[in-house]
Parts: sequence; C-alpha cells; structure tokens
Amino acid sequence: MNVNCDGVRPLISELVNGSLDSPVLWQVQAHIADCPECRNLADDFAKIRVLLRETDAPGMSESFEETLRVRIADLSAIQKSDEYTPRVAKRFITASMKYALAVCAAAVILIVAFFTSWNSENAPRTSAMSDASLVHQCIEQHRNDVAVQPLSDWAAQNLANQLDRQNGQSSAGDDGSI
Amino acid sequence: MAIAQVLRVSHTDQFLVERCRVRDEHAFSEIVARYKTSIYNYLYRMTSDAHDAEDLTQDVFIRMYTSLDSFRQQSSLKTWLFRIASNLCIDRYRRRNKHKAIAYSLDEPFSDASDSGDARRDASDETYEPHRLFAQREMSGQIQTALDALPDKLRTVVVLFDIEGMTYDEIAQIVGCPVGTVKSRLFNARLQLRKLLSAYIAA
Repeated sequence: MNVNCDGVRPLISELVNGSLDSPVLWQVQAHIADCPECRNLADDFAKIRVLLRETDAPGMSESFEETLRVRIADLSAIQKSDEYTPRVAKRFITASMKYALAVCAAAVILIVAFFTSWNSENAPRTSAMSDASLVHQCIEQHRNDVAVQPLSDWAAQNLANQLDRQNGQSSAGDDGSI
Repeated sequence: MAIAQVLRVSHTDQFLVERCRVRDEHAFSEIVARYKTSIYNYLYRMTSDAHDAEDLTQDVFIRMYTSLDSFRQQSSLKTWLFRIASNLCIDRYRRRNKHKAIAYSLDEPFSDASDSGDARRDASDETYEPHRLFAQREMSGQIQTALDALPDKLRTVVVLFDIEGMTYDEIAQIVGCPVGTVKSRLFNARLQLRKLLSAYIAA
C-alpha cells in the first residue's frame, strides 16, 4: 500500500468509520501518527460525523398519521371502484378495438378494389375520348379559320390526318391545308 | 384482535410486509410507526424543508402500500423504503429544476438572497460564507446549510451513513451504485463539509 499522504487520505474516511481491516488499519494509523496534516483530517472527519449525528430535524406534525390514513383510505376507495370498471372497460375496449380494426381493414380492401377496377375500365376510355374530342375541336377551329390563314405546318397536318382517319377518310391527296 | 396480538409478538419486517399485502391496516401502521421518523429525517436533510419532507414521507408510505406486490424482499424493507424515498427526492429535484428553468430568466440578476430557494440555487464553495451564517443560525441550521451546498449524490451518501447509520452495502443498494463509489462519495462529501464548516470545526 502507498503510505504517503495521497495514498492514505482516501482511507482516512474509512478509518473514522472503523471499516478498515487490520493490516491496512495499522499502516494508516502509523502514517497518521507521523503526519499532522492527515491527523488533522482524521480529527475533522470525526468531528463532522459527531456534528451530523447531533443535528436534529424539526418534528413531524401530529396529524401525519391521520393524514396518511385518510390518503390511504381514499386510495383504497379508488382502487375498489376501479376493480370492476377497468376489467369491463378492458373487455369492451379490447372487443371494440378488434371489431373496429376488422371493419377498417375490410373497408380499405373494398375501397382499393373499387378504385383499381374503376381505373382499369374507365380511365383509358375516358382518356382516349378526351384526346379525340380535343383533336376534333382543334381541327374544326382550323377549318373555320382556313379562309383567313391557311394552316400548313406539320402539327396541323397531323391533326388533320387524325381527324380523317377517325372519319374514315384519307387526306393523302390534300395539299397540306385543311 | 388476534392479529394485533400476533403483531405485538412478531415484529419482523417480513411478517409485517406479508400482512400488508393482504391489506392489514395494523401491520401498515406498525411499519409507518417504525420507519416514519428515519425516513422523514432523511428527507428533511435532502429537501431542507419540513413541509416537503413530510409530504414526501407520506408519498413514500403510499408508494410502499401500492407497490408491495412488486417487493420481493431481496433487500430489507428499510432499504426498500429508503430507495423509494431517494427516488422521490430525485423526481422532486428534477421537477424543481424543470420549474426553475421556466421560472428564472438568465437576464435577471440574483438579488434577493433572503429567499432560501434562491440562496440554495446559487450556493457554491466560492459564495458560501460560513462565518456570517454561523452567527445567524443554530447549529442544526448551520449544518443543514452546509449539507444543502453539497451535490445531491454526496449529500445522500453522507446523510445515510453519518445520520441514518446505514452500512456501505445498504447505501449501495439504495443509491444503486458500487460500494467503492459509496466510499468515494462519502470521502468527498466529508472533504467538502470540512471546508464548508471549517470555522465551526476549528471552534
């Protein structure tokens, strides 16, 4: 064991407590006998211990036990009233939760199935019809305006071709204007 | 009547705990009577407020009453009760710190030293003035003030060891740390108390 002050100081607290075993105890005692600083530390620790034990806390109020008894009685009453309620509530909540989850899952499945079938059947047709009607509108507009400004660009030609194909006519012989 | 007679004869904590588990009021009262003072003293040393200490002491026994089913008697009843008290202290300390964080502005200077709560908040080795305090208070008040200046971990150990007379092992169970840590904290607590109470110790 280190018998210098740094090694002994942490053990002085245990020396004061009387918790050191013999070999270490002898070494610490021998060091303290020769070292005034460590001896003072041991004396001060002993004094602190005595002081702490002599201090008194203020007394408890006389109503302590009565207040505690009332609080315990209130607690017991609450527990008794809860003995029935939570069990029933738990059953109800558990059963209703299961039911609600099943209903929600079924609803989600039905909604997903409905939209999937609706999209597959209606969405493409609607899109095609929209395209055709849009082309038709554009071509009609150009035909109405042809006297003012002939349309000869490639976009108008494509639109005219599409309309002609839909009408079962061929525009191969046209001169590029509608 | 028969139970009361048995309780007078057999006063082991284990027996009282078993009786408490079946909601025996006499057994509960016996436990309260047995430990209320030591629990209260400990909590008073930790809180430095008699009213708070009494409230917390009641909370300890209520917690015991409601948690008896979880008490497996691996430690003594006394150790378990002090552990509950220690945990309640920590909870209270956290709540108070949280409250302080909201209540105190960093811009406000610390001016009112008469408020004991504020004084405790800013107490430190540098600002601690033992001579002035010793002149104003009784011995118990002086020592309590010194204890208040200790960090909670050190104060817990020194109070449990030096005032409540517990062993290293019991304190280690209560605080939830190794015995070596308990010894180290006790040494450091005494070193700080020696510094804080130097004038009083020298006298």
